Amino acid sequence: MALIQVKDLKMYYRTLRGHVRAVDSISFEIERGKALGIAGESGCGKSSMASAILRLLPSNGAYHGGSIIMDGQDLLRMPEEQFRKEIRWKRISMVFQGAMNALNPVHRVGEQIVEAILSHEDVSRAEAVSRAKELLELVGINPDRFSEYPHEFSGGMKQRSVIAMALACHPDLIIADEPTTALDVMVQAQILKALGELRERLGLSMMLITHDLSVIAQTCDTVAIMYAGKIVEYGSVMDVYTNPLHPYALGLLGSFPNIKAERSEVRSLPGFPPNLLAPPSGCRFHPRCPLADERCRQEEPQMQRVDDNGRMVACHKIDVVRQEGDIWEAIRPRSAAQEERQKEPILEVRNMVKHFPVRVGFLQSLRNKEQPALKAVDDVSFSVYKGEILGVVGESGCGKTTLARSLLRLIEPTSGSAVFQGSDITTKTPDEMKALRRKMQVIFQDPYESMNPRMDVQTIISEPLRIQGIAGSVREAQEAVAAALRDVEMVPPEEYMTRYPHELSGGQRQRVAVARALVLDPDFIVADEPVSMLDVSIRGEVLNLMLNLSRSKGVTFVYITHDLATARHICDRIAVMYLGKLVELGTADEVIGNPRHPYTAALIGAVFVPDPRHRGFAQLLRGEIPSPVNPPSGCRLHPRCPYAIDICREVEPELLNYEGTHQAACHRAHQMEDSKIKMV
Amino acid sequence: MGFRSYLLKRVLYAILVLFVILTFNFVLFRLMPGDPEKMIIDPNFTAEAKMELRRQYGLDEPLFKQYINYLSSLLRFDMGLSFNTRRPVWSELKERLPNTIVLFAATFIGTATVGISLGVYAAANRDKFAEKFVVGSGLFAYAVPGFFIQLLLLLLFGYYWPILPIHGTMSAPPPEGTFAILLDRIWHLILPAGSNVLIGFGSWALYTRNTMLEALSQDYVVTARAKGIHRRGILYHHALRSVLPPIITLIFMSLPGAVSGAVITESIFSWHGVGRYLLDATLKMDYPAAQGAFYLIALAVIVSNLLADVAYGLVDPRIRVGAGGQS
Repeated sequence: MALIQVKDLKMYYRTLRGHVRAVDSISFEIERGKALGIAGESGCGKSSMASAILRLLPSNGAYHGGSIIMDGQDLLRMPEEQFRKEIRWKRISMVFQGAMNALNPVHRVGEQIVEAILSHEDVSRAEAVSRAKELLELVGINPDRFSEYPHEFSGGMKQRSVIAMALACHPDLIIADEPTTALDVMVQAQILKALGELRERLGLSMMLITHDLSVIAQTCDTVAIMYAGKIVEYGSVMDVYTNPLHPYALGLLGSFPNIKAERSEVRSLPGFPPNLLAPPSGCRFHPRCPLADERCRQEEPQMQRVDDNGRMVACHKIDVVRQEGDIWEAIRPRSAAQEERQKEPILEVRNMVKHFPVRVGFLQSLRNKEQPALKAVDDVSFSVYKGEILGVVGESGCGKTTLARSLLRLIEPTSGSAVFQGSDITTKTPDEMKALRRKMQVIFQDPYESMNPRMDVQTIISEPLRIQGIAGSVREAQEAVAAALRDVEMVPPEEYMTRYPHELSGGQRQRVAVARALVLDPDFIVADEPVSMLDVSIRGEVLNLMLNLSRSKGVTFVYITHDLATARHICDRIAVMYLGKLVELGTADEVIGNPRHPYTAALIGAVFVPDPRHRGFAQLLRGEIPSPVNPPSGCRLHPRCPYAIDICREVEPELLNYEGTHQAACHRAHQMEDSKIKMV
Repeated sequence: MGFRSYLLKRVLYAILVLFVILTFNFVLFRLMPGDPEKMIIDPNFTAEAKMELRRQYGLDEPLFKQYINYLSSLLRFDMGLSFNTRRPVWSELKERLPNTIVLFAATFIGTATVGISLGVYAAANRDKFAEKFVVGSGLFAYAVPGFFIQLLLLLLFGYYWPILPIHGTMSAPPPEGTFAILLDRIWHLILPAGSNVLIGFGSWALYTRNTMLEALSQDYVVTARAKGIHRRGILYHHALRSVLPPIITLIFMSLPGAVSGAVITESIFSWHGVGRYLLDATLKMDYPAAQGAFYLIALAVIVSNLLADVAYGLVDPRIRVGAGGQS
C-alpha cells in the first residue's frame, strides 16, 4: 500500500491571458520509506505540483480535478482546518526552494522549529525546545546555536536547519523542492548526504523536485520526468537512467556530462519548452522531437506500461527509440588532437591582485590602523593561449568573477598586469582601452539582466559597432548584425532582428549575448557562467556554440564556471581557484583525471554523477568557504583540508610544476597520487 | 559590533546633530529680517535706556559671546526672558508643553493604530472591496493638503453643525470635578487630534499594506503556511512581525513632520501649545521665545530619531550585528 497516491491531478493558474495548465493529469505514488524524484526544466509544473500536494496554491491557482489519497482519505476534499492541523507538517512537510529565504529573518532559528512543534502537538514549551535542540543536533548543527538568528548562519547551516524544521513533527513524507540548487557543490553534497542518512534512519519517504538529474540519480528510488505539465516517463531510477524510452528523457539525460566517466558526447535539445497558455496539440513534445510525425501532432499519447517493473512512458515512438537508441545530435567533446596546437599566449596575467576595501564604522577605523580589505583575487598569474578555451572553476566567493572582470579591466585591478597581445592593458588610457575593447569581449551570466529590455535585437547587437564608431551605413551595420546572428545559428536573422528580449527564450537570449560579443570580431571572449541561468536542455546548445566558435573562428575563450563537468567537456585547460588564489592549473584531463590539489579533488568528488550505478559521496571538505576578508594563514585551504600538516598552516604553497603542464599549489601535491580522494 | 556600541554611536550622532541644529537656530534668527530693538524697545527711549535694555538682554556683547551664552544657558534650560511678556521662556513653555504632548500623543497613537490596522486588514483581504476601499480613501487623505481638511472641519463643526468645540484645550469656565475636567479635555481634543488622524492615516495604511503584501509573498510565509500555522499566526507573528522594522522606522521618521504639522493644527484649532507659541513668537520677533520653542522641538525630533534607531535595532536583529557580521 503506497503512502500517498496522486491520481489524475490537474491544476491551473488564472492569468489575464487565460488559464495556464501547470499540472495536467498527473498520477504517481510514493511507497513508505522510498524516494521519488520529479525531474524537469523550469516551467514544467514540478514546483506547482509540490505546492498542490500541500494545498498551498497561490490565490490565482485552482484545482481542476484529481485526487491525492493518503490513508484512504482524499486530501483535496478534506476541510481546510482539518488539513492544516492534521496533514501539514504533521504528515507532509516541505523543504522549499531557496531555503535561504524559508527562515523568517526576524525570528530565532530554534523558535521557528519550536513553533512548528507547538502548533501541532500538545506538548510543553520546554519539551518542544529540547526537541528542537535534538533536531538541530541531528542535522549537524550545534544545539547551542538555537537562539541565533538566520543571518548568523551560513547558507549550508540555514539549509540544515530548514531540514531540521521539516523533521520537527515526525512527518511521513518530506517534499524537497530544489533543496540544494542555491548552494555550492561542496555544501550541496554535504546536505544531500545528510538528508539521505536521515531518511534512512527515520524511514521517511521523500519527494525530491529538481532540474538536476544527477541529484535524483544519487538519492532517489523512482523518478518521474515531467514536460509541459505532464509526466512523460516514470519508473525506477535504474531503469530510466540506464535505458530511457521517451525522447525527452533520453535527450535530457544525455545533456548532463558525466565527470567520472569517460569523456562522452553531450546531447543538445533544440527549441524550448512550450508556453502552457496554449500547449501544442497532440504530444506536447512534438515541436522539439526529431521523431515526431503526423500522429504525434494530432493524438496525445497516454501513459502506458512498458514492462513488468512499473515503468510507464507516454510516447507513440517507443519502438523507434528502443531500436535506434541515440536520436539526438551530439556535441563532440574537446578531443586531444585539438590540444596539439602552438602555445602562443594571447593574454598573460602576472600577479593580478584585486582587493575591495571593506567599509568599517568610524569608531572601528580609529582602532584599526590597517584598512581591512576583501581579497577577492590575490596574486594570480597564468597565460591564456591563442584559440583555446580556458576554464576557471571554483565555488562562489573564490574570486573567479572578479578575476574575469579584472582581465577585461571592467574593474580596476589593485595591482598586477595583464598583457594582451603584447601590451599591458592595466596601463592603457581610456581611449586606448576603448580601441582595445574591439578585441576583447564579454558574455555575462544573466541574459535577462545584461540586455536593455527596451532595445530590439538589432539595436542590441549593433550597439558595440556604434560605440566603436565602425558602424558605417545603416545597411552595413545591418549586415554585420545579420552575420553575427548567423554565427550564433539564429537563422534567418531577419526573423530575430526586430524582436525584443522578452520575445526570446533564455537560450536565444544568451545567443544574442554571444552575437553581441561576436559582432566586433574579437580575438578574446570572457564568458562568465554563460549557461548557469539556462535550462539544462539548452545549456548544450550554448556550450556547443562556444566550442564551434573556437574551432571555426579561432576565438579564445575564458570560461568562468562553478560546473566542473561542463568545464571538462569544453575546455582545453582548467584553472581552479580557491579564496582568491590559483591552486591548480593544467589541461582538462590532467586536472580532472589526476587532481594534484586536495581542493580540486574534493570539488570533483562533490560533483554528482547522473548515473545511479555509481552512487556515493567522496570525502568532502569540512565546512564552507571562509571569508576572504581574513583568509587563513599558510595554505588557505588548511582548516578544511583532510591532508593538512604543520607546514600548511604556516607557509603558503607556491604554484609548482608537476608532470607536463600541470601546476598545483600544495605542499603535499607530490603525494596526492597515492592518497587521491576516490569515490567511496 | 554589539548593540551597546551601536547605541553609543547613535547617541554620539544625536549629540552632534543637536549641536549643529542649535548653531543654525542661533544664526537663523539673527539673519532674519527685522530688529528686536524695534519690537520691544520704544523708539522714544533715551539712548541710555536703550543701552541698558540691550545690556539686560545681552545684545550688546559680540556675536560670538552671545553664541556661547546661548549654548551654555540652553544646557541649563535657561532660555532667557521673552521680549514680549518679560517672563522666563522656559516657564511659559512648561505651561504649554503638556497640552502639546497630549495632542501629539493622541494624534500619534490614533494615526498609527488606525493606519496600521487598516493596512493589515487590507493586505489580509487582498482583491476584495475592503482593500480597495482602504487604498482609495488612504490615497485621498494622503493627497489632499492637511490644512484644507482641517479648515473644512472647522467650517463644518464651527458653523453648520456645532456639536464639537473648535478651539481651545478646555471650556472657558472649566467644569467642576476631576472627571468632568478630564471629559471636557477629551471633548476638546477630538477635533484637532481626529483631524490629524484623518490627514495622517493614509500613508500609514498604504505603506503597511504594501509591505505586508510583500511579506506575505515571501518564502518564509509560504513555509509558515506549509507548517500548518493558523492564519492569524501567519498574519501577525510572521508577516507583520517581519515588516515591523520598516514600519517602526516610519513611525519615528514621521515624528518631525508631525511636529511641524502640530504648529499648523495648533494654530487652526487655537490649541494652547508649543507649536502655536513658536508661531506667535516668530511673528513678534521674540528671539528668546522662538529659540526656546525651536530648541524644544529640535530636541523632540532628535530624541525621536534616536528612539527610531534604538527601536530598529531591537526589532531587526540584523542591525545589531552591523557591517562586520556575515550576511
